[in-house]
Amino acid sequence: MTALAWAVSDHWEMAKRSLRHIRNDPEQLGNVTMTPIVTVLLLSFVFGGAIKTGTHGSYINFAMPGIFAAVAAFAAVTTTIGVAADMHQGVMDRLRTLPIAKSSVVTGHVIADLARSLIGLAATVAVGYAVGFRPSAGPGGWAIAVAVILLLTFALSWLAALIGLLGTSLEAAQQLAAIVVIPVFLSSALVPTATMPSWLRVVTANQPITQAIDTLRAVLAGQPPGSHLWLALAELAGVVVIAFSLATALFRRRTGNA
Amino acid sequence: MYEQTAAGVGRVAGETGAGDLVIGADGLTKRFGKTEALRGVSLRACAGTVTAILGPNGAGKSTLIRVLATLLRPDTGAARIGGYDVAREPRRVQALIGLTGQALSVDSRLSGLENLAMFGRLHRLPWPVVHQRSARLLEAFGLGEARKRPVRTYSGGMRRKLDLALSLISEPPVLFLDEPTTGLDTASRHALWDIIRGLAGQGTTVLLTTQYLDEADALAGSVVFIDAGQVVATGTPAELKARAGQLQLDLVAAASADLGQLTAALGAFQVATDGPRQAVRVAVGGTGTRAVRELRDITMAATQAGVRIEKVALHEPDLDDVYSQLTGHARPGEAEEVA
Repeated sequence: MTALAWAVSDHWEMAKRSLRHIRNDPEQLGNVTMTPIVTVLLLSFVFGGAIKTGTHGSYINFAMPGIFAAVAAFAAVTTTIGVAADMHQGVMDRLRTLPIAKSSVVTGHVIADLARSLIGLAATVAVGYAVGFRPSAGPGGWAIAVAVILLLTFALSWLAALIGLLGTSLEAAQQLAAIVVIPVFLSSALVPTATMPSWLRVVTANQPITQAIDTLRAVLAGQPPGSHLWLALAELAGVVVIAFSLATALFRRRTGNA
Repeated sequence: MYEQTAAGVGRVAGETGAGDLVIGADGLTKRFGKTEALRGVSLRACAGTVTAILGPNGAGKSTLIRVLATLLRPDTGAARIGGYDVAREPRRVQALIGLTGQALSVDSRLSGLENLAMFGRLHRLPWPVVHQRSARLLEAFGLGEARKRPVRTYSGGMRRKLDLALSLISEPPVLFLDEPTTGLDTASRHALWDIIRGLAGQGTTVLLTTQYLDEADALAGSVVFIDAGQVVATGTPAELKARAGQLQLDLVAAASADLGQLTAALGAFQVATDGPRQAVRVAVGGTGTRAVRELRDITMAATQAGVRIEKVALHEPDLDDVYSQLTGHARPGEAEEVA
């Protein structure tokens, strides 16, 4: 096999490892399934009656894309903890003495996030339907929606991996993990950004998660996403590139034999 | 006597084994902040030999292993494994070595078999080889029945064995074991010893660290004793024991005022006062009949001192004694207790 094929094999083995962690440790799916289910029920029955969102019909139709973004963030939190656990437990010593593509250690966690995110998404859609979520998207709209959520998960995963590498201990990383979820609340996830003070709106209305959520709202309502889609793709790609570069550089520094 | 043995040790260590030089380190130093973990460590090991790095906690054993296994870069000095420089050609070195560290490096959320398969593939072995070696190692280490269980359900001994099996999946010619049996029960320890002996018999060069003199004795053809980041002695276990492993007689005086008189009376013998409180510790030279004769002389001298002796104890040498013999002072923790 060529060097490239082996590097792909390294990444695949590390991804399989993280996927097996999901299988052997199904409780880590609790975060991505139970949290959105509770959130859907809470937003639908407790807040739904009180929050008026204007043109979107029922509040649940407005809130679902925001909950999807939260699912992506919750899926990514597992990466912060997984990466930090690898950094501060013995398994990293063994991985470091292997002649492998070292970045595969982080990439494995990120790929498993995509699986966790898809599972959480399925659970969220199911419970959403039960409480009256009625998207009018066609197959094309759903394809765009899933692609955007996966890209969002991917971007947040690399951010989460970066945070996991920043923590100086497993406990510190666990404390920092919540940082990944905060941008979801500073977006149009739960309320329209129009109601926010203007200094905050500059950030919340333009940040990548808002662009992603606005894209989802449009396509799930059967409308064209317009510039939101391109801005979402461009901004999320930017986050991926930056977080990936910083994470791999930091990983090299933390694990290099220097 | 001391000089003569020391010279002999050096010569024997240099000539050990018929194989090629596999591990060679020269003047390794490593500093962590204010702590000098390694202060110029040199050692050699030839193919198919077992070398034990022996020393108390904090002596620098793990740091040394981590430098040799490419996990740490030395500040100064150089080390070569199989001819490759550990700092400049880490990838080449990584292809030759297996490491079982003190922190268990098994993935507790995977099964034993999944661990072996993953590390086999990460070592870039073809699948058929991975399957064949995994099955053989699990069987050889008595983990066959537990192979599909998550490792978190394994006992301490089973985890150690799996950890070692993971290091062996690539059949590395050089194996580093950092305190491989610490925390294991006697049966598991002996099982691991058998495995290590078998590996060396097949030509693997093994470098292990241990705090236990008996472990070094049981496994190693050559012992490197390190303390405070420096090599304080090298030799075969027998040579080290001959040097530092003398019988000792502790005589505890009834009153501390008598201690000086007792010490003076035993002036003809090798006396140390760093033993238990209010005690004179006398080295008993020789073995067998010679030791018995020397014991008679010591007790006679002690009787003639006219001092009331409260307690007598004959003391078998242990690691602490080797340590104090080699370094000339008691282990730091012990010294504080006495003071």
